[in-house]
Amino acid sequence: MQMKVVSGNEAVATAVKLARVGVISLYPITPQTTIIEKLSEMRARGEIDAEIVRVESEHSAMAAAYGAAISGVRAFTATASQGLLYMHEMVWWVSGSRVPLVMVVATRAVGAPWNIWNEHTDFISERESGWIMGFAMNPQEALDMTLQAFRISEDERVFLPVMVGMDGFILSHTKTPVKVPSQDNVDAFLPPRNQPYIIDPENPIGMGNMFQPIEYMKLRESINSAIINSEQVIKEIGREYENVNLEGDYSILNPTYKVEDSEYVIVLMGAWSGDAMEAIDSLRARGKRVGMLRIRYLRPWSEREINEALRGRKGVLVLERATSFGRKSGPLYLEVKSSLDLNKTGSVSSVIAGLGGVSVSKRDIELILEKFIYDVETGKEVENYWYYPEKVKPIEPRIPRSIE
Amino acid sequence: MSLGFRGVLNRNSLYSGTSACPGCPENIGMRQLGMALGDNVVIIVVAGCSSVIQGMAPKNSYNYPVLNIAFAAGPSAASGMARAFKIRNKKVNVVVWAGDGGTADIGFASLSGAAERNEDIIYICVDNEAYMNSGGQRSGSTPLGAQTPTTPEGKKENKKNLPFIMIEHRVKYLATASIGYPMDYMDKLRKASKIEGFKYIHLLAPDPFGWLFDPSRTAEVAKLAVQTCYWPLFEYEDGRLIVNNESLHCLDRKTRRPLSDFTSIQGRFKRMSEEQMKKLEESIENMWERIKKFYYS
Amino acid sequence: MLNYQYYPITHPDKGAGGKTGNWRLVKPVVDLSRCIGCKACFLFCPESTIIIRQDGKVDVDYEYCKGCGICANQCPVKAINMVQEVN
Repeated sequence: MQMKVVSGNEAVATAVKLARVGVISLYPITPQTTIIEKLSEMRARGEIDAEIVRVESEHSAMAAAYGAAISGVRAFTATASQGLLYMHEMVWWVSGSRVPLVMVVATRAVGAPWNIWNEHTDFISERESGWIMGFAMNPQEALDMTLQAFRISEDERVFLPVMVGMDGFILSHTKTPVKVPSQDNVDAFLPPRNQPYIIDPENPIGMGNMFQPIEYMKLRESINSAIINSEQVIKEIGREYENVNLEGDYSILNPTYKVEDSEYVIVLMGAWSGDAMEAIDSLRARGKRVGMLRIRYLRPWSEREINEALRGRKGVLVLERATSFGRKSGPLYLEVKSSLDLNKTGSVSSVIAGLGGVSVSKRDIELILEKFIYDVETGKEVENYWYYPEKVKPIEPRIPRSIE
Repeated sequence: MSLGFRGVLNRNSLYSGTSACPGCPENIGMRQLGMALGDNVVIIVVAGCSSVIQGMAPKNSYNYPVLNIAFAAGPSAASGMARAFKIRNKKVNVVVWAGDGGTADIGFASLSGAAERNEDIIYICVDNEAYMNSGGQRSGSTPLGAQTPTTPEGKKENKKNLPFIMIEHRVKYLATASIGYPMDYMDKLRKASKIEGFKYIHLLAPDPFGWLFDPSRTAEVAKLAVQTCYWPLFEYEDGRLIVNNESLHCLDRKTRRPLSDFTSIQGRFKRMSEEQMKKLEESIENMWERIKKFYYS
Repeated sequence: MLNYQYYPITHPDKGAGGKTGNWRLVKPVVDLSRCIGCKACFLFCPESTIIIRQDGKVDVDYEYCKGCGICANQCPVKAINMVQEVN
């Protein structure tokens, strides 16, 4: 176990190395580019001996990782917004094939117009695809969840691809202290590759030719059953991961913070959970009983955990960093609300903030919660709205310091 | 396993009872592939007729490990697969079996990328000159003047010359072939499987139901295409272009068989105007001029 | 294998497209006295329904032959005739 100060991207690259990935397909896109650069450097130094396929598009990146995975070798790729949307067809193809594969998405807003900064929309838009989807909160989680992803996807009760999301720039590029496990610890945690079938001349089988409609439907149901059963698997593997990272708590899918005696709970996903925890502490110091439910696994969606954390609360605020156009709420709100027993939870509200890289501080989250609590206590109907922080300064393109 | 002549193997790559149309050239090509390469093959079938020819689950007509994949992803999946077999220390022929639509149009970037990276795969473009699986709509590989459901007045543009484009990629080995000349095709496959790097084989597959001729004449049309010099048979290796014996007569205009012998049998050229025919002949003449320049240099 | 797991895998087998012999309108009949065992029909058959016998000449698998007629078209000695399918 080593303590290193690394960014989310570097942490992911380290996890890929520790997992002994065989084939890495890469295509650059901000903000994941440093993952693939780090991996290329490692390869050039001989630190890893993976085959690196420098493909010509993200669609090909997923196809190449998939071709390697289906031939018996652990594979990995990484992408973001435009790239993820471009490989959308292949993302579905991989989950339909039931091939274990891991992808990291450094989330980024989607064009048009161009925007390179953080937003969760690209990641969330893939939630129909049949992948297991986890979202990290800090570089430590980025490393831990990527390592666990290989184990989860290759579990015979699952056999599905896993994607791990992390906030672009905020998490991908920001450095924090990270406990990096030793290769021995990871080898003990991660057994050799396991997959449901393999395309190899030793045993000729066909993958993917036509099935009768009713059989196709059964194949789809199998995917769904596997995702639902993966909840159990994720908890088991999370518990076992404590041998690798003693301070990690991965025994539940969605961690909570001070919900036990909360009247109000904020639900959110991603790096700003850290800011939310500070906002909660500040509100609690003023007598407001607030807690947080952090969504760490978007798929499988644990109805049970959501229900347990939110039942009986006076108000639930879903803070979203993504859009699902056409409704007066974001996508996380739809997921959360549909999991709540009718009449057992008070008001539920959706607040969309921080899109396109708009900076949301702990003070902003405090204000949002204060407004929400006020509305509930005074009997007003809570509204779903888009939050714009006050006095936002436009980004000034600066002259680089080296030229000044 | 040998059939006893010219190294042809009695290796059955196609189980009878496929979903192909009677007289399907893709099936002929697939069978001849097995006779040349034997067991050690993995096939990536890109979306096209061959995806459907495999029939319905739980059965598969292809007697090979087959990966069916989305339209644009063939060469990239093959890249990943080839690397995986390299890591596993297994020498396997990774073959991409793609149609002309999947090669000239939607899969072009993927093909170009894999060629540029010199991935160790054999890419076979099975060219029936249209999107035959969906009814014969024109593709970049449809010839000038051909009538298709999306070009009822005859295609106005020339056929994309994929072999030349791939030669510009400086691939390790390139060959054109025709299912009407199986020995030549099989020799080229065997040669390709012994070379390390990116190999491209462009296989002519005349489709009776798309080109509108009697299914019994599939092999005949495949031969006519070469004899009338519409389809050149050549190889490219180490910077040199070699015109194969079956096409040597095309180098001299006087010894070429008239193109009308080829176009008159096919219904898709029936409504071709004189002007279109002239343009088609011109484009073939130009192609041969370029081949000659390269061949004699 | 867990009972809910179902993968999109198939196995090589005959008849993936059904009993394709039913598609025929005409069928190939081999005149063994004329057949020279050159195997051109075998090379060009799109359905693997030309079977090579012990003596090097050929038989037809009528269960799956679609009656396309390529074998008759390619035979250099005209040993194969396409005959009307009776029923």
